[in-house]
Amino acid sequence: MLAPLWLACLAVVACAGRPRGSADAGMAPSGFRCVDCLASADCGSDQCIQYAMDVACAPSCASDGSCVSGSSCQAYSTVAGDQVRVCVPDAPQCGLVTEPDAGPASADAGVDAGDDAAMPTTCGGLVGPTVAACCHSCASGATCSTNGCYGGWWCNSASCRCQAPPTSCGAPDAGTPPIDAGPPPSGSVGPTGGTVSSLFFAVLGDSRPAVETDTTSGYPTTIVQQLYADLDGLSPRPEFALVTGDYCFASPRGPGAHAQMGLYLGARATYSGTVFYAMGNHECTGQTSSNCGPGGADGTTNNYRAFLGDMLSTIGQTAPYYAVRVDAADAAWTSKLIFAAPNAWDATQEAWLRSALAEPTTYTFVVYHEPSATSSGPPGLAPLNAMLASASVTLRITGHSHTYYHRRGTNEVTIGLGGAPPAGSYDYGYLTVTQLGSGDIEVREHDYTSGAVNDTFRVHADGSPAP
Amino acid sequence: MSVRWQLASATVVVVALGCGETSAPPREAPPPVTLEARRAPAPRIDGELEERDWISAPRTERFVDAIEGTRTTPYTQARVLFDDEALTLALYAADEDVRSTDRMGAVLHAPGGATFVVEIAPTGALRWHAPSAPAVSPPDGVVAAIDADATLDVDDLEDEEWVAEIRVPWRALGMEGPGDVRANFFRRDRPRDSLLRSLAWTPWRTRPSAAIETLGLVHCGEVSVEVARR
Repeated sequence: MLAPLWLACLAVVACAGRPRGSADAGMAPSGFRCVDCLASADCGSDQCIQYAMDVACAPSCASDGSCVSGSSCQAYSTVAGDQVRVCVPDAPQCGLVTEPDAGPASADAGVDAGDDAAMPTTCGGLVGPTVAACCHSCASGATCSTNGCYGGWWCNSASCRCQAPPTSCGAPDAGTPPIDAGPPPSGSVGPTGGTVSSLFFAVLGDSRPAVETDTTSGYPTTIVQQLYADLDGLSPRPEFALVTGDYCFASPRGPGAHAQMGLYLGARATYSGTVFYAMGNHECTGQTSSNCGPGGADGTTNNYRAFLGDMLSTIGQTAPYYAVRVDAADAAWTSKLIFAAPNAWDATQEAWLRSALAEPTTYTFVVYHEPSATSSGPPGLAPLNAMLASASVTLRITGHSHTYYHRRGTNEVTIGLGGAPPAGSYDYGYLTVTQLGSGDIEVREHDYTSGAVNDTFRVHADGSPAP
Repeated sequence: MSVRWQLASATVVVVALGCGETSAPPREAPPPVTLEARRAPAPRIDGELEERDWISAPRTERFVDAIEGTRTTPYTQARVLFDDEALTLALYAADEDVRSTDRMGAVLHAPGGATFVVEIAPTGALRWHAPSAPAVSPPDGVVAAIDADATLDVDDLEDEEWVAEIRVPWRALGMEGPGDVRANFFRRDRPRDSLLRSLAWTPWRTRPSAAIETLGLVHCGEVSVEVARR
């Protein structure tokens, strides 16, 4: 069969554009061009930039004077995420609206600059403008900061690339400070709670496979196993662990949830402490808005049944919502852990939650799956949010989003990096939550691969930000 | 930690037998990273990967930084089915913030020497072009679908992933029927609070993205292969 005419035409273009250094279409003389590049090497000596809603090849520049008439030298981001200054046309090209995409100007505009005084000079592996670092993004003539970036950007010391300043790095010198937690914690916490000298626990979340299956294909067993082994290897070992939900991705009426939760529990056995489980949407139907249980529109699915029968039975719970007390051995403080289930919402849970929140304790940790900002959340999320708004809560702990997220100044933290495919800038990992000698609570996000602490923040017992 | 890293980045090294590759890499070049495509009935192109063949099909390792070749996020992987009529690609993208500017796609280099790029956005917009060239209308039979667990262009902590299913007839690659194809899979994404990232199955580093040395091998033959994990 002969290839159609268009194929022949494309083939000519394709073959002409490939060899580096030849005078062909791909290596055209430097100039802005609306082409579908994937890498800067596709643009010859020019840069492949993200241009408004698309990509284009554009020549590097140091100043407006080095650009041809009708274009100007502006900061853009290459498709690889590097800062560059390139000549772009003053009039929109490529049929798209033109605006500097990710250069320093727009980055500055997108960052909450109001709390600069509170921002430390480093944040995990990110190095601020005033500290020397390994980045080298200033070759094109921009005024260079000490960290090797410009325009207020931070240097990622792992990749030696510049990026927008972090929006959440609450504690000073978040990279490697020792935890001011007094002597190592002692005491024990079992399925019904316990007493300890000070709080020190871990949080994981979201361990489901990437896609729905009624088998165990693609289940992240190895990652879950390693995360729990990492927890068990910490010194001191966390007294207990919490999980924010989503242990399976299976059709709600199939056998997959039971099989997948079996793998989870086997992997979790590498940690010798008690683990408390919150319910996720995948323990109902998988839909974020789903609602299971006797009072829910989705009823009792196999996933819901497996969650109760396989997971919660290991800690003696019979309902998807419950509370546990962990208090000071010397009665100096008290705490409660409340596990809410917005995906199994009914009037009974609502009344229970109201009562549980009213119980006076020094610290209150509320664990539930979907973050408060979820736009199309389950039926229980709005009433839960309303109750939490008027309660004294130390920390809201959520999952669902397969990343780590904490907005500076808030007491809500999201962790969903327990084996589900990481969806943002953070790789697999977990949180540790530590009661400091001051009484404040410190939260750290730990990376699974490197062991590095990526972020740290502190709150007072009432949930307000702590220095 | 180093052991875990090696496992995570393990590369499938394959000695392919009887492949019809006409533009072989230089003699000293290492064998390309290989993905075993699975022969299967044509799947329904709906963005859902619920067919048994998709579930059990071999997958690429998670994509790496396209320039550095290092482990990176967000998590991305690809798998391929084929039949007598076409090659079908499935691209999975974990994504905390799905944007209409996001892209996934493939560079496909047929044994005849022509190279094409097919890419898709979460909106379902499909593009077909030669490397570093403007897009043209996709040839007949090239179809695609998206399934997104996300609220497009809304940063609400609700997004989880999007999946692309792309069917490319052999004739669109100038091929009469099934055969090995040199290929790469790629993704462009901007995680929250971060810069744009380029990810790929096999990194192009400083080379043009369609350079033959950059491309892996999608094995679509019936000939058995010997697979060795490093």
